Amino acid sequence: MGLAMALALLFPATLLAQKFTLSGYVRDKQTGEELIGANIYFSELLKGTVSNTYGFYSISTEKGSYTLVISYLGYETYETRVELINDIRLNIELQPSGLSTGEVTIQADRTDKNVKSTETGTILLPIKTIESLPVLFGEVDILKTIQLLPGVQSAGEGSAGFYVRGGGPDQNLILLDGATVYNASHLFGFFSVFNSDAIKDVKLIKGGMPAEYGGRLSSVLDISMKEGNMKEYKARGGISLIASRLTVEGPIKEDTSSFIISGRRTYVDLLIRPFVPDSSPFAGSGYYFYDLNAKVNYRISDRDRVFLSGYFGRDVFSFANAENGVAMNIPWGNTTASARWNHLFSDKLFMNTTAIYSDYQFSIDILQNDFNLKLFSGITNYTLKTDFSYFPGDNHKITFGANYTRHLFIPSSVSGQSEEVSIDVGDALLQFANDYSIYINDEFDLTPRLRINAGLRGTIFQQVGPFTRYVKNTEGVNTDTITWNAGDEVVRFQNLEPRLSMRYTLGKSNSLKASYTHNYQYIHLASVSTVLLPTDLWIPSSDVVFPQVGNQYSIGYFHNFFEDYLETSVELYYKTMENQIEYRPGSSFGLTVGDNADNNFVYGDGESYGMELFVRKNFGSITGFAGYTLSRTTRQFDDINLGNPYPARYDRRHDFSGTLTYEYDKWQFSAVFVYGTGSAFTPIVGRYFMDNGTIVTEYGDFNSFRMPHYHRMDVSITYLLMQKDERRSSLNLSVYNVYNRQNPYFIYYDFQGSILDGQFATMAKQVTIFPIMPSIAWNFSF
Amino acid sequence: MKKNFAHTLLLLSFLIILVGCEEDITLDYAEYDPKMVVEGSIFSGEYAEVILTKSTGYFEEINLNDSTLIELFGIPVYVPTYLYNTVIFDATVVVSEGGQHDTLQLIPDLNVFPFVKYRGSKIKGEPGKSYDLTIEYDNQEYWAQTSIPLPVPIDSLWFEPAFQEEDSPGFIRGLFSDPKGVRNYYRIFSKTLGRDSTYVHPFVSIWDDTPFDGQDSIEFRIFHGDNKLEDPEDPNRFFFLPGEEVLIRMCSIDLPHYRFWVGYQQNSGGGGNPFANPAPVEGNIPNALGNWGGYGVYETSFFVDSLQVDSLNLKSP
Repeated sequence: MGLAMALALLFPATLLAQKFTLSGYVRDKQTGEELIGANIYFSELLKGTVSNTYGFYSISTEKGSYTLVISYLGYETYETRVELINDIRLNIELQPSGLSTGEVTIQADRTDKNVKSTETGTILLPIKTIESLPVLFGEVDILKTIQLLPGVQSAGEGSAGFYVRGGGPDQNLILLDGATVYNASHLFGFFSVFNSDAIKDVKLIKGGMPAEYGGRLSSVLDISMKEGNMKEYKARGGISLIASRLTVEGPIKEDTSSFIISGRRTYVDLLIRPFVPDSSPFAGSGYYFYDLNAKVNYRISDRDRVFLSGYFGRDVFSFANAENGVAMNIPWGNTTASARWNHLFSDKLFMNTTAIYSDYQFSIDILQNDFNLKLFSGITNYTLKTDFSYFPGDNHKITFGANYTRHLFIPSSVSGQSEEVSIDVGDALLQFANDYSIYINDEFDLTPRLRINAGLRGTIFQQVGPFTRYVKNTEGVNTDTITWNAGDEVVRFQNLEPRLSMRYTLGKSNSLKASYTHNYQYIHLASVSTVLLPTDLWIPSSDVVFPQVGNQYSIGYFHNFFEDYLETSVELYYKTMENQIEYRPGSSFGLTVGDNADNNFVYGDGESYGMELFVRKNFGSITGFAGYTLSRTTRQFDDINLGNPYPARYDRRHDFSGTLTYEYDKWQFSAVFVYGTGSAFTPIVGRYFMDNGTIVTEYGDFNSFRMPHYHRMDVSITYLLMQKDERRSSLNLSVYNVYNRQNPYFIYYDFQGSILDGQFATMAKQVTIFPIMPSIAWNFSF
Repeated sequence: MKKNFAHTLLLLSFLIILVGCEEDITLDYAEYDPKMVVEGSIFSGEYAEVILTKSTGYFEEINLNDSTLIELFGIPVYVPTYLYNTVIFDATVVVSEGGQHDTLQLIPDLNVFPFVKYRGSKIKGEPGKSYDLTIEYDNQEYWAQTSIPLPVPIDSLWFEPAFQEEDSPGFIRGLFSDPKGVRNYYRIFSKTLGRDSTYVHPFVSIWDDTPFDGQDSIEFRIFHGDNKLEDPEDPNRFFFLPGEEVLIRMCSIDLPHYRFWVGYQQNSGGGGNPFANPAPVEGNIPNALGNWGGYGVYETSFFVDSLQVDSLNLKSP
């Protein structure tokens, strides 16, 4: 095969020396769950590797007798002697450390992975860290924890949306077991769709994205669901102020197959109902969301394993106003399903093939008297992908694979019905696309100090018919339509995306890293407002919308102190983004009838640069991390701000977050503090009369004004009520915004009086949505 | 309006369910330095006209109930003090073309707010030429340039009733041929004799030829514009009525001028919605608000005759 030839030519060294391979899986001793990113190394050689997403590792070296050390955050370190005189399969089970005994094993948790790996801008967050931090309404939230990391900013107060290194919220690839999640938030952005009980691991890559990931410019958030306990049945759950959760997992057949099922539902609607009397015109209004995660897996043999996993979540918002006869129902949410097959061809070649379905839907159903209007938008894709990991020898890893995705976009579809009239724009607005990619990534030591990770990804994005392009005239009326039949190519983009990152070891505990990525993004998120709303539209690249292009350069210095007790890093980045989209100035969310959604955009470029400092202490009775980001993000659009560059709305000069957790006996105390420069917005500064007495509003420069600075502190106390063997129950008290800072959510203008009465005044109002918010939650597992 | 319907509802409800609280705040930019507002035009075949006013701070209260008695060229007029304070009476306004200068004179015009305007007396607009505007006021100088593109004729006009009834009010449709190979930008006005004292424009009064460059038989539609002197409650305010004689002016304008009106159009009705995109109006005078724009005029008159409607309609595309 051509690829194998290419590999052999690229790495002739691997064909020479007589080497043997040690390979296997790293798992949790209690649950049988595979551990992602465990460190495996020969202490004599200081050579090692890291377990992959499926817990698999493979390491090859000259024959000999070695001490094998396996370590993983939160687990006892495992050490054993290995006589490497032939190829060895060794599955290792690690014992969880920490809470179970009350003692802290210092040795156990330390890792120098951040210094040794080639990854820049990559942070792995164990779910335990996430769970120990204070939360809003008692709901543990992965995305809100992500926002505390340097280089990552929240999209707004309480929002689960995030911006990475000046990129838009659509530039984050959010994967749940490999399936893309298009709208990762509930309740207009206040909660993420990820139920932490079902999550095993969270990895964020904000720079130096390996070639296996593609389709987004800014970051990858790779979330792995738990596989389910292979040894025994377990349940865990919690009851908080607004939601309840329950997770059940266990073996279907011990050590062979297992399942996990996890559900969550909010009951805000039930809580609010008593305050809305039946006589109120708004009776019948309410809101709730729910999530369901499920996964089963089966080890067919030591070489084959299959997984089936799925996620289903919906937000349902209903609004009724009896006075004007309006009833409205707005459901939206994601569905993902993935089926995967892991296969070991040999000790050195690992394969993962996945079939994925992902879907995001948003709809509004409005009933006003006898008129019924439905608005629907969504995105659906089917993906088939295969990924190979090949471990030729000494610290050498090659990954390669291919991916095909079929996209269906429904930018917005409207249908209406009344007694006389019926409208249906139907299928005319659908947009279909094929997305093909192949990649190869090679990670190897060029010299003992210099490690290289080079990758190349080739992508083809093709918009295909059926499709209708509406051409507009003067008054926004259609003058022409161009039609493509099913399967006809509307437009095609093909690109090569090189990626390179390297690490140069300076000393035992410090290193220098650098990376470059060039990538393309073929879909865009059009958001009309400053707040992320479920109405935001996903738009594919088309005959009028060109792919987003990103370039990112970053360098970093990584230094661990006190024998890896304290991890620190400084990273600098510079990033450019082309073909960014915005709604045309003055436009707002509309019902698109007989029009293409992408007719309303303007195009421009973006630029961002910054410095990120990070300190983390993962072990001991006091743990925590702190991050500071100094950055600048600008946008330049010919049609906005007279074509002059302006601060992006998420440009934040200073951004600081710190977390601290202290464990003492049965108590756990934690605190989070965040500080950020106020969000940019365009102020209205004045007004004038023109055109025979028409009032014109005068805006200041685009995004030239800042809201007040944002800062907030949250605290929480967890008390272990009961612990016997593995049965635990704890009570958590969290206080969000403990000193009741009135952080602005948005600023709007309110009017008093009327021009016709001759008296008229305007004032600015600031809306704060979360004052001090205490919450209590009870969590259990047995 | 209707466009925002779903969005507004969504937003409203969203606010209801949240325990949000709001407070009045004072924004740093509340201290406002008024700017000059220029509304300057030169139509082909006519002298330049410039209206000069001042902007006011967004948070400044508008009070139209306190009036000041002023004498405008011998005519006593009561003007709300607030508005009176925004008018610039003593600027030096000069229009220049090809070495010629025309100093504009302040004259009354009771048909148009603010009842005075500066008007030229030497230079009349000619298609194909560029005109400079220089204003000196309060020790500051303002400068802008505009051009008058060649006018494009209207090929035909017909009336289209809005309702299925006898003597229904309606709007006027027309056809024109877009010149090939040049970018054209248009702005349209109408003046109904005996009804409008000035030219008025429909809400959407501009368009560009991007979608139909060089094509014949481009159809357009014109509603009656906003005549501020008419009763805002009158249901026929934006329609033409059978029996009316209407002057239709289709003007060619240049790109900066077009962009100004695009911004103006987007701006009206906006403001205050924290979730909408801001719609700034971009003029061509660096240190002032407003615009200096030239118009290449094609004018024709049209008699609104509802009896001819059907036969004319058959001919239309």
